[in-house]
Amino acid sequence: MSLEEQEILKEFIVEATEHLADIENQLLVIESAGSEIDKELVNQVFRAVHSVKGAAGFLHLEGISALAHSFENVLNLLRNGTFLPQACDTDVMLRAADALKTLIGELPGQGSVDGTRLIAELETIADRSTDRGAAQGMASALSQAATNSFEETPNESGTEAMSEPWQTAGATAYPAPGKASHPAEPSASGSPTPAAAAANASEANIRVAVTVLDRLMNLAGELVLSRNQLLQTVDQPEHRGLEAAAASLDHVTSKLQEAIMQTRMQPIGNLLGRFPRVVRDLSAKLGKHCELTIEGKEVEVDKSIIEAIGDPLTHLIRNAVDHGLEAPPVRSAAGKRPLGSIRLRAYHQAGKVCVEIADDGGGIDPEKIRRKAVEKEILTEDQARRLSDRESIRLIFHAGFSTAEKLSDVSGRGVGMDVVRSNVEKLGGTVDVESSVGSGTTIRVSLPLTLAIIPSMIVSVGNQRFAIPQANIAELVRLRPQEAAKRIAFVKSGEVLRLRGDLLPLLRLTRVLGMEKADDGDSRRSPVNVIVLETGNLRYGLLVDGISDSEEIVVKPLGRHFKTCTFLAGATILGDGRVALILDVAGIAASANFLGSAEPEEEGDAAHRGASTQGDRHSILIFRSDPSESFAIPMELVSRIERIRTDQIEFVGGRELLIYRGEPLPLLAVEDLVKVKPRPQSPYLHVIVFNTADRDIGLVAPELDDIREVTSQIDGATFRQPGVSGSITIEGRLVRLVDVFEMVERIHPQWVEQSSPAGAEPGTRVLLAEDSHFFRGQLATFLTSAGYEVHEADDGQEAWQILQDAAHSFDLLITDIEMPHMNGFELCERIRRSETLRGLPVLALTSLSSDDNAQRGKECGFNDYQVKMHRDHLLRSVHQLTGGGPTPVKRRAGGRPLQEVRS
Amino acid sequence: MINAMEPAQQRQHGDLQIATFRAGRMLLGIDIGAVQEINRDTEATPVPHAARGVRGVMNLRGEVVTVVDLRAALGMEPIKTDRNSRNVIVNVGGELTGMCVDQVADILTLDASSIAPLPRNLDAVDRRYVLGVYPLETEILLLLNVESVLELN
Repeated sequence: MSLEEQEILKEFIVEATEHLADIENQLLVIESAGSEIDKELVNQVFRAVHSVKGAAGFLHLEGISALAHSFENVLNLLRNGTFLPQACDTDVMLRAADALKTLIGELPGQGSVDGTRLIAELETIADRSTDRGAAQGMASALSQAATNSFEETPNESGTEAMSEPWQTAGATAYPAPGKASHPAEPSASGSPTPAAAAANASEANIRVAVTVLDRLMNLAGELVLSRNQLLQTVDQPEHRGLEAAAASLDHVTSKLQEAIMQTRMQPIGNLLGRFPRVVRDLSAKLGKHCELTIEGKEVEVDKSIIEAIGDPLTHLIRNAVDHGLEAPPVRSAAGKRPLGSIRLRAYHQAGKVCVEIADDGGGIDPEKIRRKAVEKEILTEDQARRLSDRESIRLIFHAGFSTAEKLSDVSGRGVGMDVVRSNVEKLGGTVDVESSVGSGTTIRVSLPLTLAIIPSMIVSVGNQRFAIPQANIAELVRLRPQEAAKRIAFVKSGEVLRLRGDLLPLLRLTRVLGMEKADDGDSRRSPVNVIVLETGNLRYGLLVDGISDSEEIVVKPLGRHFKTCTFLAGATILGDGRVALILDVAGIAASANFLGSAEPEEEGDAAHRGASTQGDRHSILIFRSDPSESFAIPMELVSRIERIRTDQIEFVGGRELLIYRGEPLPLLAVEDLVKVKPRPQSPYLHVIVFNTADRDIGLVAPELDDIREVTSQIDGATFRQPGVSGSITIEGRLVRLVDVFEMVERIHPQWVEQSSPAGAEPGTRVLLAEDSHFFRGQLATFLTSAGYEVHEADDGQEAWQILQDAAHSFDLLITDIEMPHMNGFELCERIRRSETLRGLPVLALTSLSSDDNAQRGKECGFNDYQVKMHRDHLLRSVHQLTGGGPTPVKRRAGGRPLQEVRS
Repeated sequence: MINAMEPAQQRQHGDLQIATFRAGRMLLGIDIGAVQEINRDTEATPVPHAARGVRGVMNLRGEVVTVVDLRAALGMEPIKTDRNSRNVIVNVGGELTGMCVDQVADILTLDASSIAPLPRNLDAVDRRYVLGVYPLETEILLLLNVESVLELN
């Protein structure tokens, strides 16, 4: 083929593809209009096919030309009013359109589609209709009107001078239809045999509104002026006018950037437009009756997102037809109308684009999902039972999940939904589902407006710069050195920042990156910059050296060699041409191994926790006065940690105290009760504030060492003495556990008396279920000394057996949560299900003071829920639950009141 | 573009144009078709925790391109860049990657039939990385298997 011929062919392909782009939707609209045929619309389709036929004939593309010819005949009859297309006729026409697109897409090859059968089918329709046509009265009048409009178009002539008519055909036969917003991109083909080659060709192209292009031209002009202005200043003495020129350039460049970004924005209708066909074909195949309504076609989204979201949306739509909507008889039986409806809606919300797929089908049954999850061994029975309905429904996004009875190629195989979710999340979006059994399901996909450019904050460590996406930044905290020293707890394996009453986990970016730490001496003197980051449910602070401006950056992907760098989300090129890496906020958190409540909600994650632990883990804060003697206090008891100047401590009445927040804070020290080496001289020390006997008390801790998690292997005997409840060995070092309650009892007995409730009723029987020998001993001891009759059980199983034994009857059950053989939740559930035991008050103890557990505890039927180590709160609760005493005042270690947990 | 992946010795006829460069003492060569450009800029922004052999990333006219230290990739001591060092930008696996080398040498035209397999006793370089050897007047040219070198295993 000569170069010229190649050019002509290329032009033909582009033009023909454009002609045929909207044909599918137009045919569907025509079909849905039923007997009220929209003549103008039919005319449009006719003209499109006619143009293609003419041009193909000119280029001797016989296959295309012949097919288009038969198609054109049928369309002619249609617009003459000669026949009313049945569903099967529309099928044939749709297939003919598909075939044409395929053949054009495969050019300059021969084409894989043999049009002869289609031609035959089209001719059958034509023959059938012309026979019928004679009987239709309106025919002649309509054909007259149709021919008139037909004659208006200049492309009627045959095959001579084809180049002009087909170019003008491009201009006139393809105007933007009034209703639909923009013509669909050729790549939006929903038929099962898409013209793949055509799709590729079209992906390299994009439709841009002429107004946007005009704007770009204007801005280009302004850019030229700005450049000239800048060049002039070079010649000026002392570069006079440089600032003005630079400002002007800055301004124009921003506007230019905006305008160019806009060219990439496409109405999402281009994509949504392919779904009517999908729904139509699929419903026909499955014998369902569905109606698809689309809202928000004009919502604009970046091209990159449109391309990426197509497949996931297709899957969701197919799912709605396949699984969501019931077959017509089922619907009628349920009192619904047999026509199922699927509503596809796109809208902007809070800087994101949302696409909703709502069906009025049978909904998702959470119970069925739970059963499937257990069957497929995704969850244990226990975990499944603990999931809320909402969490259960979310399981559909779990890999390996598909409740379809048999695998259809439509949407079975369980790979669909989780791929949808991961694809959406890869784009920085989220997907959520809401459903109610019998009424229907709504799936909501939310996406960022554009992937390519994001606002971000540039930070630096050392001389390297990094970018953090603005979306993840909650706030910036800048501390002067003295403040920093007070509000950051410097401990070895973890640091926390005290921020408005919360302890925020802190990470140093230098450490995350494995860079060498800067000289500590210097860093203590300079202000400290902390960026509070959020991702999902996780919140933490990142300590950096410097924070620069916020900038809009273009996100560039990192090459395959950096797949393992999970703390990076990409790279960008800054204004000075240097590369800055983009930090992945979630990835950093993952690599730092944040535990506990920080985990994002996912597939009943809350259910996993507590399902398989062996024993309690306690967080203890280790401190020392002398290097050789370490003490510890459980973190649950810690309200606050303060760093104070030693000279702030006052001596009143032979006791140390501190004026703290305007109030006197009594201070206790380990050496008050325990023989230890004297406190070393130091300008600063720490005070650990805890709360007991209704007041704040401070424990002096000269030097904080570490916060560790330990299992309950506490030795309660060897080093037992007043003020020390036990000891534990950590890395060969002996650490003694301070018993603050006992300390207070001993040193300020009058406070304890004032605040404690009246003694227990004699004969009150309490069953204590706790697997840790140490804690059981502790609890039993002080409960007994408060006057209760205490019986002990090693775990839930034993406690259950004791309760069942009718000889005993208890007034209260105090139970740990984490126990082997049967945990606290299960035990309580059993009790509540039992006829005889259901009225037994149950008090749950835990070392985890997270709200999650409180919620679940409430659901299981606990009467109250106490943190294990809080002795006086515990006593008060026991007193109240066994029938006497005032309402206990509950305060959590953080100083905020806990919600009442009462059944 | 001539495919860099095709082992040079399989071609029966015709000449090959090979771009050659030095890494340490070795003279290495790759098919010129695989070379996008040779750049003087050997600077790279380091990426923490990247694989051994990765120097970092660079800005190549608006694209962020990975830069590999060829010496490190071949198991040698890392490169110390000087004014002779160059960045050979290759297109492998659909991605542009830069290879930092000590020195760029000539572009040679080789007779494909003279390419010989790597002699068994020459263990200087891992077999995976060498497609073949070509004797020159004063030294041996090693034909580099770029794809496998850039795997950085």
